[in-house]
Amino acid sequence: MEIQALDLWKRYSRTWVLRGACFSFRRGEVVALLGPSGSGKTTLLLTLLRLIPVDRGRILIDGEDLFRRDPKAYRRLLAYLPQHPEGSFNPRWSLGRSLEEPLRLLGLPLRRDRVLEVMERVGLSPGFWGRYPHQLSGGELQRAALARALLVEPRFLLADEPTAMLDPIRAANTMANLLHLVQKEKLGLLFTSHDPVLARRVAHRILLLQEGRILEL
Amino acid sequence: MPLLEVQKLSVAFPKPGGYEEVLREVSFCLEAGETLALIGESGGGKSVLIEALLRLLPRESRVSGRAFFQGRDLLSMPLREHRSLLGQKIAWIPQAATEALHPLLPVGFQLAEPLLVRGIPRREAYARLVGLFRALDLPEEALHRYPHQLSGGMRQRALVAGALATGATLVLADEPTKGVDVLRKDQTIALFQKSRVLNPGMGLLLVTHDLPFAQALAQKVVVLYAGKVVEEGKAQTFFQGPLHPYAQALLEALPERGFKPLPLGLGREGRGGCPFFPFCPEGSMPCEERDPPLFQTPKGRVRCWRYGDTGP
Amino acid sequence: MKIAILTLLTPSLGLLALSFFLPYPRASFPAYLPPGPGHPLGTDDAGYDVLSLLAHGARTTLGVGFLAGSLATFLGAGIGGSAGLWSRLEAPLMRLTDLFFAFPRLPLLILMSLYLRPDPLNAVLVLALFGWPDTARTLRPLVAGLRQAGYVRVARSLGAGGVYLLTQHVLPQAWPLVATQWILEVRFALIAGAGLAFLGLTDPTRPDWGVMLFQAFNRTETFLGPYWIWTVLPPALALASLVLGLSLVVLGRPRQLDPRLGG
Repeated sequence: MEIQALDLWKRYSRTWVLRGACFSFRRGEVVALLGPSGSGKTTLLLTLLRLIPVDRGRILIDGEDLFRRDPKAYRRLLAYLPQHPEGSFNPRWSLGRSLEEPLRLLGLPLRRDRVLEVMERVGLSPGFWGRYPHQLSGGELQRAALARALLVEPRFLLADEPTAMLDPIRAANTMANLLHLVQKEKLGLLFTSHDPVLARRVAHRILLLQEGRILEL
Repeated sequence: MPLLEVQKLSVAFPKPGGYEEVLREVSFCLEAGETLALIGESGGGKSVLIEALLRLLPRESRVSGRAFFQGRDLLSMPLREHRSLLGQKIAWIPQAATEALHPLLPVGFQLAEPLLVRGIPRREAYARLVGLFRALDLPEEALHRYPHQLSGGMRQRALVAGALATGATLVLADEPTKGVDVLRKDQTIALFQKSRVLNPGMGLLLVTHDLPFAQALAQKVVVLYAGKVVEEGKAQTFFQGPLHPYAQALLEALPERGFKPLPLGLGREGRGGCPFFPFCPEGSMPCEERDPPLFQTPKGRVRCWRYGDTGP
Repeated sequence: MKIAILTLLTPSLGLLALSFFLPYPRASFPAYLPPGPGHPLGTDDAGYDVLSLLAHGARTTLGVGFLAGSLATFLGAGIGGSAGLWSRLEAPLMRLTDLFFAFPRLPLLILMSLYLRPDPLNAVLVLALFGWPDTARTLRPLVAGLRQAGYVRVARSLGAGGVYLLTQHVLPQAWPLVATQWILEVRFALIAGAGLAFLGLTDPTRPDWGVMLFQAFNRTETFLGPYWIWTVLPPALALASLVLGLSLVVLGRPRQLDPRLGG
């Protein structure tokens, strides 16, 4: 399965952040998106997730504008991993409730056994269900975010700077987890970063967002 | 006399059922003109150390020990005296740029404030900021923007500029490269180096886990693990070959080197012995039972039984 | 602390309740009767029973205060929240906020009362119309920060709409801030309303704590004899205790200006 972004243009007030960005990636590929901070890497991710409308351009799944036909199906295909694990959960909700949210929003059956199974896959014991975000460490929150993403059985993971806030050991652990899961489930992983060394180590392909356009390195 | 001398600094936070010790008798020296990198786990208490020096910890926390800045103990001096040092002799680059900036005021206004308060004329204050902004690749108009209009990396760089604009003797930098991309990181390195030239006595306490960044700037390295100093030594020798297993794992985890993960679970609270023992590839008998003291070796000090009485 | 708050707030609420049991004050008694049987708080210079005045005055004073405060908070939350949620609205709404923020309410109230009918509803309108900017300004960064929060983005990426986000994520977080603002607005409106009456700019025939003070201060004999004890103290203490009680409530709640909830 392939996701293609064609000729994306996006403007914020007067500035064009994306100027005809084009790229694509498939399931099973690990792609790094590099670029200076503020260059629009997050914007690009958010347009793929349909959180921000583009001024021009198309996003296709296997050649089709799936979002137009079936937005729910499209949304199920792409899962978002936000940048800061601490901010990725509603502080007032228990972990279980937060994990169930995607299922609710997409109208999928709420089966607790499935949720617990996914939790275990990322290394969270069932006891975490009732805990609150402030009771979890950064690493645990990251794994919880991963569990939440995997619950809807996506085909693509979009991770926003997964290692930016972490010390080298945790960063290596996080990437190892991500890569392990990506391999096992044959997911397509697109992650933003500004560490070119990390990208070279880990990614099959490296994209650079520069002046609104994508260059492949 | 060292610029900053921390002696047995301990910090504990209240938690249900007692206190949680975040820092345990941390001691080190920072000389004038030196850059010291304080490295360790995320959330491991490195920021807490800076906050302790700045006396910004919540009232309920327990702080003990001393921190001598140019011979005067920061922790016990009268609050007014301490306050007069901040923004003038001691500058802080806080970690969470989002929290550090007031959302309703323009960035330039906030950064200029410590300078204006000291009587530096507006024009000069802004001129300094513009110069520093330029050096960090920030547009001048960013000064007039609100924090939420700048990206995370831009905010962090703005804070770096703000701290250096004060011309302080001691700069406490808490993760100054958080969210900053490689290009700007190089500029930040260059800027700090330039500042050292322009402000020769400037001491830089760099709290970071960006090891390449630390390597580029630091002369001395102190490694914290489980709230204690586990290694201390000259930066050059450290990065060539650290002594403590945790420090070794830290470097091995870098994508530049081995990119080796090391599953770190929960610590061994209150179970005695070296806290790194469960994860240590070299752990052996004494490690499980007794927490090692700091041993002196030719390459620096290490808290590890491998370098103990049995010799390195 | 809680005891102090309760002690301070009960009299006002008690008086309000009492107003439903006591007859509407009429000048049918001898003037300046000291507190005694039949008139627990005595009578004022015109022969009105002070307790009746206090009770029925509570309706006006508290009515104006709470109505104006609530309206201001409601408007402010709506505008500030909208500005925070929809970035397109942010700039125009914030300019609007700045515009209204520039008008000082007390002078405006005074002006208004010189030109319009001294109707408490007018006071409520002016107070609300120029009181909402404070709440709007405080709420907007909180909401804007929430928009960037990881969990909000995740929800949006899964198709969550505005209503869902508002009810599930934004309002529960914004609620403490809005509640605190509400108390502050009410407090201001209470003082403003009573102050206006005290200056004699409202309808003196409508019982009101400020009016009571106005009447008392207008008479030279008030302080020459013991009369002030029951013509000045009751309304003054009633108002002071209410305002102090509200202030203590606010002190106990940290104002949650926390953009950290964002990214």
